[in-house]
Amino acid sequence: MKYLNNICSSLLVVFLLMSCLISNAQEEEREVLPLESKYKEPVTKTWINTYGNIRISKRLFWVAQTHFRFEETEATPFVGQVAQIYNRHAIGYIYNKKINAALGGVLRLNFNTDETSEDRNLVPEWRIWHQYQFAMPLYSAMIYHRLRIEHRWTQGFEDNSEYVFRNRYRYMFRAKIPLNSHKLEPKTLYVSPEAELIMQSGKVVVASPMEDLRLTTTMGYIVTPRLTFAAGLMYSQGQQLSNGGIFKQAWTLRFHMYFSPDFRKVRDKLPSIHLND
Amino acid sequence: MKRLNYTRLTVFVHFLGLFFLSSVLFAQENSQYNGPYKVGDYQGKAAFNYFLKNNDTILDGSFLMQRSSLEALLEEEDYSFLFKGNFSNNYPNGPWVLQFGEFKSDKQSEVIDYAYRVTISGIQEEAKGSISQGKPDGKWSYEVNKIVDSEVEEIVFKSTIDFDKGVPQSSFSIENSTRTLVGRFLRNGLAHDEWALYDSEELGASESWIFDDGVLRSIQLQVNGTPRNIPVFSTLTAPTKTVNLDKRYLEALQLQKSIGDTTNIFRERMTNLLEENAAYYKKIDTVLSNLGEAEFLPEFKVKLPFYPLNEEEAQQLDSISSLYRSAAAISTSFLDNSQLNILKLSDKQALYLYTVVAAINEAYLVPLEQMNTYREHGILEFVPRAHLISTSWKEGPPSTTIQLKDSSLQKTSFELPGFPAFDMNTNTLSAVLQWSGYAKNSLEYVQDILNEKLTKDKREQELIAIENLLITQKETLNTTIDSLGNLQNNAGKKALNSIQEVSDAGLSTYASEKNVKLKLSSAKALSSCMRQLQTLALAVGSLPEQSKKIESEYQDRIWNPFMANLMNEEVKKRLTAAYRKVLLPYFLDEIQTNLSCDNANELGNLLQETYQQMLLLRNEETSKLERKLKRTTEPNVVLDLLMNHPIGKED
Repeated sequence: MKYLNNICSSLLVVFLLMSCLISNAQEEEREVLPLESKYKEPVTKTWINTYGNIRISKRLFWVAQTHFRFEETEATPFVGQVAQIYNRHAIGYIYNKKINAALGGVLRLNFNTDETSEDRNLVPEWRIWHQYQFAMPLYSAMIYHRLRIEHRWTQGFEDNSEYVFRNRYRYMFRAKIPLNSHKLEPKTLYVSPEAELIMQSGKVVVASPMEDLRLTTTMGYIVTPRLTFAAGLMYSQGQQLSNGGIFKQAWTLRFHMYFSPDFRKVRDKLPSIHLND
Repeated sequence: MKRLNYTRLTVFVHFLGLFFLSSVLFAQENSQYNGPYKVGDYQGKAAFNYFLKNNDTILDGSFLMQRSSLEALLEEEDYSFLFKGNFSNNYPNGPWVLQFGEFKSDKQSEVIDYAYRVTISGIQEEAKGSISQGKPDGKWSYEVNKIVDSEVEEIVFKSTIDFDKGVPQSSFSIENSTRTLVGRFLRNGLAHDEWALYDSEELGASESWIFDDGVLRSIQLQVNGTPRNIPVFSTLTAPTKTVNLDKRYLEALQLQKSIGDTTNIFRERMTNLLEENAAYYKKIDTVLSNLGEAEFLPEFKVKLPFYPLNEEEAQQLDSISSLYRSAAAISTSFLDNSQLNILKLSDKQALYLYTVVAAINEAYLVPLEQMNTYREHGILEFVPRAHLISTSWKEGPPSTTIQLKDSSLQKTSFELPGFPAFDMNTNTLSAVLQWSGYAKNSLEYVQDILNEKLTKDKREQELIAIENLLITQKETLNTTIDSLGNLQNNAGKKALNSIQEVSDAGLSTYASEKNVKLKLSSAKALSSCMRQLQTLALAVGSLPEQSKKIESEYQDRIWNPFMANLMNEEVKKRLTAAYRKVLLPYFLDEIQTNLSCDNANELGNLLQETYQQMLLLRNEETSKLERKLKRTTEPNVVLDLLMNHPIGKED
């Protein structure tokens, strides 16, 4: 019940993002904000992500994503150790070919990447997520706006650690610009700059609403209408939850595979919403 | 009860019978007609009495029909007529008047006695007399007057003849503006005594025909002021036959030996008057026969010597006529043959044979035609056979050796080999039969030689034409191959080269053929091959385009959720791959290695049919076919699978 209230209030907050967060200033931690913001040394990471979009009916599709995330170790940059494994699923709804929405759940397995820690090595994290995606053609390119809201329950690696509830509000702007073709079609190489701002709220979020700002550039290649590969480099920074004056930084190599099979046995796989194209 | 029913039925049947009988009786009562009417070419207003018999109109009682149009007269010219008389049971009977007018008006009018009067000028014909049972009876006059300003200015023609039920009697006179003929008949209508022709400008008779009981004994003529007597049948011993004095009689007269060359002298004068008169009577007969039943002819009777044909002669004449027709058909076919007329200019033998045909035509067929005409006109039996034959063959009986007048010919005579010599007795029909047989056989002999010659000539002409065609076809093929080559891949170029090689080889094989007969047939075959190679070359040329078309057809629009747009997706890849990777190389390889004139057509068709089948398969359910294609890359098997996949059915 308590969680439900939190969800409701957090939905309201989407539209009044900053002002709400500022008023929540009751702090009981001993953390002291530094006089000037402090940037930690960037860590290096590697993400290997698969994105599945499996068509299940005229309007619905099943979102199945598995992400493997690695982090540096003292000895090995980028891929020294496994950090997280994502299992993200949802049911998507096609409103039309440029607008779609999805609702589903995530199970994230968080590995303890603190090499000195003697706590648990692996803890689960649960999420409920929903997202709204809008596409706009611009000359030969496409521009995408993605709003994603996540309700997450995390716990620390300490034994008997309690689940902490937070909301995440994510907006991503992305463009895909074909390089060797006049439009995004099979056998096209494209470049995709993207920027995503992730804000958060919750009882534990006191002075660190900006969880992450990610700036990425990827290069992708459309193999077929149903298969695309992409790879890129991301810079990200965000406030440390425990102290809003301290900023984490990271450089991440990203490797993506996008696949969208359609096993339906229908002759004309075009949904009627596309007939007027 | 039953008996009563029968009785009622009988009464009813009788009643019906009476009803129809009464209606028939009623129908035979005379009715009157008054209104527009048409008789032959004459259209006007009529008033007459009639009754119906078996739905036929039977004229009975007075009859009046006329036409005149003041409007037409004033505008340009009017044709008027008037028929007035009586009918009795559809036969003209009693007094009759027939008038025909052709008038113009000067459009001047005056009022006289409360009526407008318009003067007219033109020709007025009037026939008057009495008719009995459709035949002239009593005195008949036919007058043609020239009218100027409504007054008779000149009598153009006038005949007066007495009849007794259609048979001319006693004396008659026929005159036109320059001559008058008067003569006499016996009671039976036979010409008798002197028939005299007077010229209006001379005194006394200028021409007299002396008849004796219908037999024309002699003709007396004034030739340049000198009297001349031409005996005709002065001493007639042969049996005679009574005939009408008409064209046939005059034609038979001309053939009489005794008259000889003087025919033209009398023909124009006496006969013209008689013919003129007969034409006017025919005019009346046409009107009356169209109305009812009539026989209105001036049947002047005369007698001619009669030489009846016996059965053998009749058969001989039949044979002569049939031989003549066959011979004439051959002769005409050559004399009018444009190919022969051209060939004879360059070929001496053709010229010789052409001249022979013309000579046979002159010496045999023209006289035979003359005889045939006499026979058709029915005058053979009135002329002695021998005289008739010598009249037709004016230069004497023909010879088996036909002399040709042109000295430049390779031979100046012609004789049909192996034909027996003509009989010496030349005055009989059996001799004429022999002549016609000779003419026909000779023409057939010439025909055999000429036909072969013409066929050979035709073949040579044809060969020249087809060789020209071959050259054009080869040039077209070369141009086509040159222009298509640029668009092709290597295999396509090789296939086109192979087509060119096959066409080259065909031409060189043809060129080495020496036999003329075989040359024509192989030229035809090669031309057909060239056409097929041309089609095949075009088919190979369109392969790249067709591949593109297939590629674009075998696309589906797919929504890509990551790009949020529509993309083309290639479908049924196994089909397109089979076409592109198996069949096309196979076809091109076949053309390269196995192409010949025998399979060019087949290969061309195969390319087209496969392409069409690929287009059709796009929208067919082909999952089974695709599975089968997965297991083979053997071109024949692939082709068989693709081409035999049913279209329009569920898989």
